[in-house]
Parts: sequence; structure tokens; C-alpha cells
Amino acid sequence: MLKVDGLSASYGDYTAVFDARFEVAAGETLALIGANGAGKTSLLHAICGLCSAQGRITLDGADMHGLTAAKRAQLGVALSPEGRRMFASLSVQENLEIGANTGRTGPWTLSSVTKLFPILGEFADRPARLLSGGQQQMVAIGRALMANPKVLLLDEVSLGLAPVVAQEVMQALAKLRTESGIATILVEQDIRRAIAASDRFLCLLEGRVVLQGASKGADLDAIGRAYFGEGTAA
Amino acid sequence: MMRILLALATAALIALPFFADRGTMFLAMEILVIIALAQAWNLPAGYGGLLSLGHHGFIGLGGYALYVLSRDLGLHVLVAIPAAGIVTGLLALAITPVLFRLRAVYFAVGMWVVAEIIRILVMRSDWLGGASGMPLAGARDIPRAWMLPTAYWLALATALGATVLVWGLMRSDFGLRLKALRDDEIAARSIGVAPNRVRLTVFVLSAAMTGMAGAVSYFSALFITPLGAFDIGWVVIIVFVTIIGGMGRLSGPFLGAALYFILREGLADFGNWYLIALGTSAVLAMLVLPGGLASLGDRFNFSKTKEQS
Amino acid sequence: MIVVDVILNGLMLGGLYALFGLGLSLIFGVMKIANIAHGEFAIGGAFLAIAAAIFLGAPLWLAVIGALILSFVIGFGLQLVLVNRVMGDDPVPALLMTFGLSIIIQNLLVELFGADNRSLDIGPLATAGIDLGPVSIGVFPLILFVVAIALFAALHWMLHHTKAGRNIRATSDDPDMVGMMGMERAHIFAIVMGVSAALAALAGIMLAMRGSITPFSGAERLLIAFEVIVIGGLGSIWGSLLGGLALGLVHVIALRLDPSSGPLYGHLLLLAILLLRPEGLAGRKAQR
Repeated sequence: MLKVDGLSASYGDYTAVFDARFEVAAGETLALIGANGAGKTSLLHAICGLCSAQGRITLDGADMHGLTAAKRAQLGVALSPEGRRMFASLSVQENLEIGANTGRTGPWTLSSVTKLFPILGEFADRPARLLSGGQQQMVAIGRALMANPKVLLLDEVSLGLAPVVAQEVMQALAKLRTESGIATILVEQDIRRAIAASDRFLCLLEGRVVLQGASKGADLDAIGRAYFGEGTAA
Repeated sequence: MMRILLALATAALIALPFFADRGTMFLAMEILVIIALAQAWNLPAGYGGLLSLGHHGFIGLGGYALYVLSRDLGLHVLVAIPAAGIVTGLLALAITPVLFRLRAVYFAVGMWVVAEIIRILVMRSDWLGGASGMPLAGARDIPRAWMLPTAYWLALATALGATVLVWGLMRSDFGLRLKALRDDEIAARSIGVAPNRVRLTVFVLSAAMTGMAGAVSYFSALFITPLGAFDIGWVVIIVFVTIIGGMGRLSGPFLGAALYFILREGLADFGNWYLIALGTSAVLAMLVLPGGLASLGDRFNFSKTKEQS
Repeated sequence: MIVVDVILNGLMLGGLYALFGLGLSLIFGVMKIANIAHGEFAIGGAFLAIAAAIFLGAPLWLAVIGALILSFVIGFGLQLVLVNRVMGDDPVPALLMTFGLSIIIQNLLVELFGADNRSLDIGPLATAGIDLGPVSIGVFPLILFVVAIALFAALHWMLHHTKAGRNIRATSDDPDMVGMMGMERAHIFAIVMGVSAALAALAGIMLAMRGSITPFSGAERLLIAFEVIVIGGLGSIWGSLLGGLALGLVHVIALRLDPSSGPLYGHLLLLAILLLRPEGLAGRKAQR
């Protein structure tokens, strides 16, 4: 579904990701693991067209090079951004509806999203900025789903949430994983949580892929070492 | 080599009154005043990120300060002109408590409003001759034959003085702090730069230079009116000259002024078209040459390749 | 009774001022930049209507509508082709760009129309009045006031009850994220600039109906618009209405008490607000 080949991402003179290559199939979840500043968010931004990138990114065989973020969104790339990035003056419902602006149709509508996250239906008319962190995270994921994406990029969905709330969000994602055919990339700092929620993983260190493999039966110690850059060839 | 050339050029400029005609002298003087004004404006705007659209207020203040110091205190014009710069600087200092509450766009337009207030107050003041203006009492301080050369030399001194001052400042520790502040205020604070003190200093210096250049300009005119002295047209020229020449660059005002006068003299028979051409040049410069004409040199300078951070 | 007269006239002038501020407020709110050419958009729009009415002989209503549409197109185009390219975290390049545009437009107007006073003739409506016992108010200023209020209400409705309005508010909240919603930010900015230019043009047209304009009238309108939005509170549409009414009242009262003061007291009001209540009359505490 999504194929990334020789991808480098940069902001101005600063290069954050070097020569990444991987694929994510429909219905598959890829976990991006790495410490702060390892280049995880930059990699997602490069796929979205939010920062400058070199290399090939294809979605169902279609090259997305040079397309604006809006065009990629219309092709089926959706992002739940780090920090959740609510549209502060919009209500919860408006935040969800604006996700459908890409014009893509599919199973995800206001009613199916509020079925996944019932609390959002209850708070539909509240300004999104007044919600708790966990509820805002649900809005951000719901907003991305509303686009009926082919590829869903989830950036730090559990960051800053109380463990119970993070658990709730991860459970919803697990339900998504089994029910939908979306290709998902999950950025997560908690290695254990990332492995549990994914089919395959990819470990980044200082902008380079240093380890990848299947999540099932993955050696957590090896991932931990790669995470901190111990004993791996950079 | 560079120094010899600069010295020769300066000598030639000083000697200009002995071989140039009146028209050339007036034009040269005007060019020098614009260069001085652009250097003064560039100091807070180009190097400090403190952009003002109200510097015409300081031009008018400088001009009026000269006329009042000459008439009411009987100061000799050669004393009154630098004094006018100082008075303008002090008045600028007096308005900073209000203006420095504003940032960026609000500061720029807020300065414009302040200049408007000063203009209206001057127009309403009988002491300053009201809307019809006043003549220069100190015109007789200088023998008539020497009026134009004196005005020219004053303009030359102001333009070169402003250039040297900006050059010196930017090579100093103070210049580093100013640039640090423009590039990243938070980082600058963290290394002990006091933002408001640095900004205040460049703002007051800029106002003083502008006031003195205004005084020089209205010294040669022998008459001052509020509509002329407080005309936003001054700012239009200063801003365009600096953008086209290169903001935050010492050679910017020279290059921009050159283009301005070429356009103005070249299009002299076509009404206001030179202003349209100037504005278009400024807009184009922002699109394709953000560093102005002064940055053209950099493009061919391969010895300074950009380092990746 | 003179007090009532002054207040009514001040409010009605304030309606026009508020209209000058409305378009600028929209730009500030959505794009976080200042459009220095706002005054020239207003005056340029009025000249378009004057050109259509006087030189082409179009009926007034058609001239006005044509000028508004053309103003939208010009604002849209300038934003798309020029201003969008210098937009970023730093608002200064956009400020300088629009400053350049303002001078270009102003001098084009001088070359095309000369520097004379011009106005749009609205016939007997200009002098019609309504007697309300001891005070009398002009019909046209009243119409102007009602139109201004109606436009504020319409813009408010558009922003809060239409899809386009929702998208504009989202862009104002987080311009970096709207791309991920499948929207081109550059297009939204262009539409907002177009709407702002049309609102400015309408204000300019009403100014030309009420009195007269020259190509140099833009600078003063820009300052009025700026004062309206700062006095009212930035980013708030209703704040602009409040700011406009306050500025109109101050101008009319000042003109009565001190006839030669011109816009002086309006300027001083701005400084007073900046000193005493920097967030504006209706604004929340905000960094500026």
C-alpha cells in the first residue's frame, strides 16, 4: 500500500531522516520506535508533505513526490499529529467534520466515529479546546479517520495521557486494527506498548533505521539497545 | 587597495563642490540624505528586526528642531544641526514607553500613528508657524555663496557618519547582541542580552541620525512646512531603497539609492511612474532576491559554502 | 439635544469606520499579517465603481457590484501570486510586500484618474433627512450604518454556520494543519484576502458616496482601520464594530469641540488604549 524508498527528510538545512526504506501493507500496523529527536515525527511529516523530502513515496503505486499536503490527504494519507493539534475555536463535531473535507468516502462517518469514541458524541457541541487530553486525542484520531484514509499516521497518541486513558485509546486502536483495512504507522516511545500494538516495527536512531522486524516474538532487549544506540553499527 | 579606493572616492566627494554645477550639487546632496536616512532606518529594521513606518516623524522633528534652535536660541546652524539630531533622539526616547509595548506589525503602524500625531500637533502650533510653516532664521549664518557647498558637505558628513556608525556598531559586541536578538529572542535572552535596552539604543540612535539628516535636508531648503517634513513619502523612499538594496547590509542603502535615483531621473518625464517602478522593484526583490542587490555578490561567492548544522 | 445629535452622528460615522476595520480584522485574524494596502484596496475599489459609473455610464448598482467583484478578484490574485510567497512565521516580509503594493496601487490611481477629488453621485438621497423632533438624521448615513451592521452579522453567520466559515476558522487556529484536512492553505488565504478586499472596496465606495476621495485617501483609511481593530481588540469581529463606533464617536465629538483637530483625538485614543488596555475594548489578554 505505502512504499517508502530512500527517503530523507529535512527542515531547511537540518536533515532529520536519512535514507529510510520500508513498506506498509493494507491492514498492517508498523510501529516507529525511537528516542526523542530520532526522526520519527519528521518521517511522518515527510510522508504527509509537511516538510521537504527526497526519495520515493508511493501510495498504491502512485508517486506522491512534490504533492502538497492537501493533495496527499485527498489521496488517502491522514495524520493524528503530535500534540493533537485541535482546531481550538471549532467544536468537537466541527473538528471531526473538517476531517471529511478530503472528499473521500467510506465506512467512517460522524456516527461510526462516535461509535468508536462514544464520549465525542456526548461532547459534540463543546469547543474542542475545553476537552481533556485523552478526549482531544480521540478527536484527533477520529478527525483522521473521517478522511477514510488508506494510510493512517498516528504520532505519539499516548504521550501525556494518564495510563488509564492511554489504555483506553490503545484499546480503540486495537479494535481499529482488527476491523479496518487501513495501513497504519504508529509512532510511540513506549517500546512495550508499540510492539503490542503493531505487526512489524522499525527502530530509528539519529535519523537512520537501525533495526526492523516482526513485532511478534521481537527481542525487546535488542530493541532497547537499538533505541539507545548501544552496540549497533550506526 | 580597498582602503585607497575608499579614500580616493571620499576625497573626490569632498571636492565635488569645486567642479560640479548647482543641479548636480542638489542631486548629490539629495542622494546623500537618502543614503543617511536609509542607513538610519536599516539599523533597527534590518539588523534589529524593529521595523518602523513612522520615521518621517523624526525627519520632521529634526527639521523643526533646527529651525527652532536657530530662531529661538540663536544657535549657529552648524551647531544647531547636530543638536537637532540629539533633540530628535531625546524625543524618540520619550515615546518609547508607549511604543515599546508593541511588536512587529503593531510597532510599525504604531510609529506611523505617532508621526501623524506629531504632524497634526505641529500644524496646530502657531509657535511653529502652523500649516504654512516657517523660514530658516539662521540662513544668514553662512555666506550665500557657501550655502550649497555647506549643505552638501553636511549631507556627505551625515551619510558617511551614519555608515561608519552602523559599520562600527555591527562589528562591536553590541552588534552581535542586536543580531542575536533579531534571530532568536529567547536564545538571546538566555545568553544575557537585555532585549529592551538593546532595542531602545538602536531606536534612539536611528531617530537621532534621521533627525540630523532631516535637519540637513531642511537646512538647504531654507523653509519648512509640516506637509513636506512629515510626508509619508519619505518613508516610502527609505523603505524601498533599503529593501531593494538589502536589509541588514551596509552596502544596501547605497545600491538601493542608486537604483532609486536612476529610476527617478530616468522616468522624470513620466509623472509618478518612477514610484510605480520603484514599488514593483521592491516587490520583485522580496520575491526573487530577499537579500536585495547587496546579496548578488554572495551568489557568486563560492568560497563561503553553507555548512549543514 | 445637541448631545443626542452628536452621539447619533458619531455612531453612524463609526459604522463606516467599523466597515474599514472589518476586512483588516479578518486578515489579521486568519493570516496574522497586516495588509498595508488595505486603504488602497478601499480607495481603489471606489475608483473602480467611479470608473464604471462615470466613464462607462453603468447604473450605480451595477457599478458597485462590478467593483466589488473585481476587488475580490484582485485581492484573491495578489494574495495567490505575491503575498503567499512571503508568508511565514515572520510577519514583516508580508508587511513590506503589501506596503509595496499600496504604493503601486496609489500611484496607478494617480496616473489613471489624476489627483482630483472624486465622488459617486447618489442623487437626492445624499441630502435626504428624517426629522425626529429636535434632532434630524440623514437617510444615507443611516443606510450606511445599517449596511455596516448587516455585514458584520453576515460575516459572523458565514464564519460560524457555513463550511467555508468553519474552514477559515480552522485556518486561523492552526494554518499548518489544514493541509492535512485536504485544503490548500494558499487558496484559503487568497479567498480571505479577496473577501477582505471586497469589504474594503465597499467601505471605500460608501466613503465616495458620502463625500469625496482622491488617490491619496488610502493612507488615512488604513490608519482608521488599524485603529478600529486595535481599539476594539484584535481578532474579534465584534470588537471591530465596537472599535469603529468608539472611534466614530471620538471623531465627531472632537470635531464639535475642537474643529481643527482632524484625526488627532482618534490617534490619541489609540495610544491611550495601548497604554491602559492593550488587549482592546473587547479583546482577551493576548501577546502582541
